Amino acid sequence: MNPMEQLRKARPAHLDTPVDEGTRAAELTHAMAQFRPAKPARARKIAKPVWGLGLVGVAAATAVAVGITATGGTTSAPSAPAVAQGAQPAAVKLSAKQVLLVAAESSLKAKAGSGAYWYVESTSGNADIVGTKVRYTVNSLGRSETWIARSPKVDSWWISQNLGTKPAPGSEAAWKRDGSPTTWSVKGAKRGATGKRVIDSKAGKPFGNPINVGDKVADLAGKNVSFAELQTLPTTAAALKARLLQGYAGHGTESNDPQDADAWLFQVTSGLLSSMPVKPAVRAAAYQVLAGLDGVRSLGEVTDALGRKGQGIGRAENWPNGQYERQIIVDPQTGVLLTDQIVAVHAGGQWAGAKPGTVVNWNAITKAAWTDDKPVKP
Amino acid sequence: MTDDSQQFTTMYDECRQRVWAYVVSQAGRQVADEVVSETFAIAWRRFDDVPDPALPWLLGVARNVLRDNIRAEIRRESLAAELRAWTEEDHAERVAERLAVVNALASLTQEERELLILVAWQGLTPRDAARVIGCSPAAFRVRLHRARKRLVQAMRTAPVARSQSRVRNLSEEWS
Repeated sequence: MNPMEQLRKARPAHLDTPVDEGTRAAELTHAMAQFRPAKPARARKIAKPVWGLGLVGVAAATAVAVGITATGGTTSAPSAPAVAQGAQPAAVKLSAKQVLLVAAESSLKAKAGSGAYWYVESTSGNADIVGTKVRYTVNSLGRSETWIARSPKVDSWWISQNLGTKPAPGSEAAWKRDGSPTTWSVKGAKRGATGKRVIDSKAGKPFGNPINVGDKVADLAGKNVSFAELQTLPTTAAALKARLLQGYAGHGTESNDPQDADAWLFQVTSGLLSSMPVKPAVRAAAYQVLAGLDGVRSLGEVTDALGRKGQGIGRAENWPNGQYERQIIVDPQTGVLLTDQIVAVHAGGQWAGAKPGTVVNWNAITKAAWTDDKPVKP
Repeated sequence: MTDDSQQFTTMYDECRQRVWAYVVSQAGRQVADEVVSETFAIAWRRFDDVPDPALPWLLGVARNVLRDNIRAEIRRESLAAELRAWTEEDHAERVAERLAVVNALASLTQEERELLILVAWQGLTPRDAARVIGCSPAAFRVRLHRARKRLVQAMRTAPVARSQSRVRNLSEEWS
């Protein structure tokens, strides 16, 4: 007999032991509690180029920010019902373009960094609608650290920890009426009885993994890029936008859900601003790209899940499971992107039952800085 | 977005057992659940990058998780117990032949064993198996050919009695 055939037959039978239901539920829950950096679907075609606001616009926006009373407060019409949870209208609400152009201008004040690693710390949350006696929202929380190495010879690291699940702010009373459970069972939308997922309130321990593939350290607009490539991104809005849209040309394995080019750019550009090691001029260009997109609206002052205040910018998104708004919360005075989040407008699918305004997924950046420290591996 | 948790669950149900079997064959049952759990957590986080078919990709991730998250000493002990279990598993039919094969497998290096298991027990094509261990398909074929030769040699020469000491010696192969 062929030795490979003999080997095949010698396969220990217990390797086929099926997974038990408890382990399956626990593993699926653990996996889906991870924060997933949302990646845009490829749109079918690229919409018209829209960047057109010149220096005059920047100057005007800056003037507003430093305190001159704005007379032409051009608040863009909401494209969705008012959804910003906890949004308080500011005394003078700046338009989305104004906020973004001020943030662009402020970004230029930052110094280009040095340091062995670009370090990003974030906390995230993902909502589920649960409850047997009453329905309410719980948030599965997580934290992560990303260490992107400057040197292509050094590993970049990602460390993550499941921080457990708890009732969302405002849901505590309903949770108590439900008997203060510490695990919740939610149904998978289409899988019926077998799609049950158990959410556990318990936190997990941290895990770490190298994330680089060779010298590639990050996913920018659907393409893996090296640190050096991130450092040489274009510093004008038009060129940066063109560069980002390259990632959107070919056809790939990503979601088949259609997504228009502006929605895609809004997501990709926000991702760049929230976590990538790029030069201050590239951040400025990225804010200008956002300012040039159709459909962005100003939410005024918004408080994020960590209680930090910033200016909210939103853009409506239609997904197969409902209508949502993607929001970013920025500090226009520093150009720092504090949080990006998805807010329910008419939620369905896994978020069916989420009230309009519920933040169903968020990622709050708590630190983004250069460091010479080395990753502390768990 | 809505379909992701369903698609992910489908992928999990299709691949979980095979990922687990691979990890068990590399490092034993004691560590397998932990590695599998973390592998699927990474798969969820990077679900947009997971190719179709997902299995080779998942095995590659599991391999890295095993290397990075489980201390070498623990992998070693767990695998030694696992290999002992293979030789002790009760098979009424062709016990002697099976023992010879398993003992021969246990006497190979970690790398040789992994190549053979990916092909013979996981049923991967050389191309997919090469993807798991991160080498070119051509290099994989060369290494597989060598591992196969070593297996045949070991089946001819390794007396059953040697198996226990070989199992213990595994510790020297891990780094």
